[in-house]
Amino acid sequence: MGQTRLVAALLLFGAALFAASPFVIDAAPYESTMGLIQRIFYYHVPAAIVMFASAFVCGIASAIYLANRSPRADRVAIAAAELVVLFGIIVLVTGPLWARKAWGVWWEWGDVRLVTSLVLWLIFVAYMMLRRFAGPGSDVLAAAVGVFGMANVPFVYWSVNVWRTLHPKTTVVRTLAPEMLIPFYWCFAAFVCLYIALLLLRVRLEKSRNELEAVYAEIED
Amino acid sequence: MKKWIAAIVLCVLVVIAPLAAQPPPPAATDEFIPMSEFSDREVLPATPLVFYAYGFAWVALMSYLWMTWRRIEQVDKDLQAVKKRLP
Amino acid sequence: MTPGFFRTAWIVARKDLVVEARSRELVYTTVFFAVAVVLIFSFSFVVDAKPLTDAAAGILWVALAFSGTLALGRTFERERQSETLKALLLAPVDRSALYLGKLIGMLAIMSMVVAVVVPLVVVLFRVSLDGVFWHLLALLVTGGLGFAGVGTLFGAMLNRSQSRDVLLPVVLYPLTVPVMIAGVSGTAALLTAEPNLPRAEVWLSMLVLFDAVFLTLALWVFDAVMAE
Repeated sequence: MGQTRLVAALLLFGAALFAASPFVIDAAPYESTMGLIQRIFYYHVPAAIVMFASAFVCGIASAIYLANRSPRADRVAIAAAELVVLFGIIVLVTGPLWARKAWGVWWEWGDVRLVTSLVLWLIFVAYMMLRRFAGPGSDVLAAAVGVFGMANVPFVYWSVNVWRTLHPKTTVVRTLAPEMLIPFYWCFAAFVCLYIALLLLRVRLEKSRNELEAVYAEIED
Repeated sequence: MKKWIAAIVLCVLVVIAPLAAQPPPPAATDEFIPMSEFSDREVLPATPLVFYAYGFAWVALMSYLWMTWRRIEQVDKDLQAVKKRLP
Repeated sequence: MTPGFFRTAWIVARKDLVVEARSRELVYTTVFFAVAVVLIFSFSFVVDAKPLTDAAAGILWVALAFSGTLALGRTFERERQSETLKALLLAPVDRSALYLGKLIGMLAIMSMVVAVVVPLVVVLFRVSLDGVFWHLLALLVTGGLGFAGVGTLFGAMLNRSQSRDVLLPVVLYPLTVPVMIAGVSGTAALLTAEPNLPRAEVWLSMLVLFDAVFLTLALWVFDAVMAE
């Protein structure tokens, strides 16, 4: 039950940080060239960081699973993959909302991080589809996708980066002034707490599901 | 039951927050956004976009949390029922 | 690696090539599918009866990707029908050698497709291969190796799964995005009026690195996955 307390604590803490974040963000100075729309970054960037981190977690867990078929690794892998999809959706919605105001377009192929996020998101959507629809053996199959997906991140980033230099577009300098670091870290902390809590929760769900399947299998014998 | 109460409290906290955080000062926006050739940048108000972005993030996270919680409860219930059937 | 690693791979590949040489079913259908893809895209991208030269590189690689996916599905379909994959896996050989053998078979089919589609694109889009032939060939070989390398692994793994026909592209296309970007960009740099060889070489080096990393990964994963 200790874990339940940890999850509940993380959730409450994260949610509280989250709920308070608009106030903290409001107190931050406006960014001189972009104004209000820049506020989206306080959610967009931490979500992106958490998304990439989760992809890494899934990749490593998948590799462990392929190496020794540990059920725990499998649970962590599927939980992390689902969270890549969740945080990915947040990144891919907040990004265009920002871009619409800042650049006048919904999607900018020259934005390397956004395009890389899209490809990574697609890879892990494929992971979830495999687990759902591929039938027996899908756990191993998906683990291979997880490993390949993680290994692919630097290649995708590099190739999109070199590719877009053919279409020079003024890149937005997304550096934060020191006064803006406080709301940024605040939101970052909120996202990380929520991520860990959701990950633990999802792993717990998977564990219960596995237990249920095991009991069903016992009954059938 | 306790889990439901906690969930509802969280949702209330999260829903009240953006309502309380409004309104952001619109005058400041007019002052800081520079002139540019993209007319959309002047004409398109930033406030709704920011609101949609924040709102979407909250809705997504809270929905996922709620869905996962519900699935856990369902599976636990099934587990209890099945365990009773075992000798 | 057991001493018979490459020999095993060659035996597997030769079996596929012999079967294919007799019926030629896979090669004919895949090549004609690629031609059909090129034609459909040509009609989409030719404006006022003037072919868009810029579109040539993209269309070439899309045709390769689509026909490659089809060939992958069909190759393993054959194995499943005669349950030969199971028999192969039961044999006391290094499993990764099976992967390599299957890969060689796939590359043979794809070379046939390339041999037909590249001249077709050159003719339809009025591009010239003067001075860029070897660079183009290198791009096609490395890109094809990367695409087929990842595809053969997942094609084999999906062999026993449900919904395998649609799941293979769902998995393969996002994972081979770097190959497509590099292939198309490199080819586009070559097929212009003034070919940019250094630029193509940059993309070529990325493809070589991609192939090295992912073929190694595939060999490792194939062994780990087929351990059942």
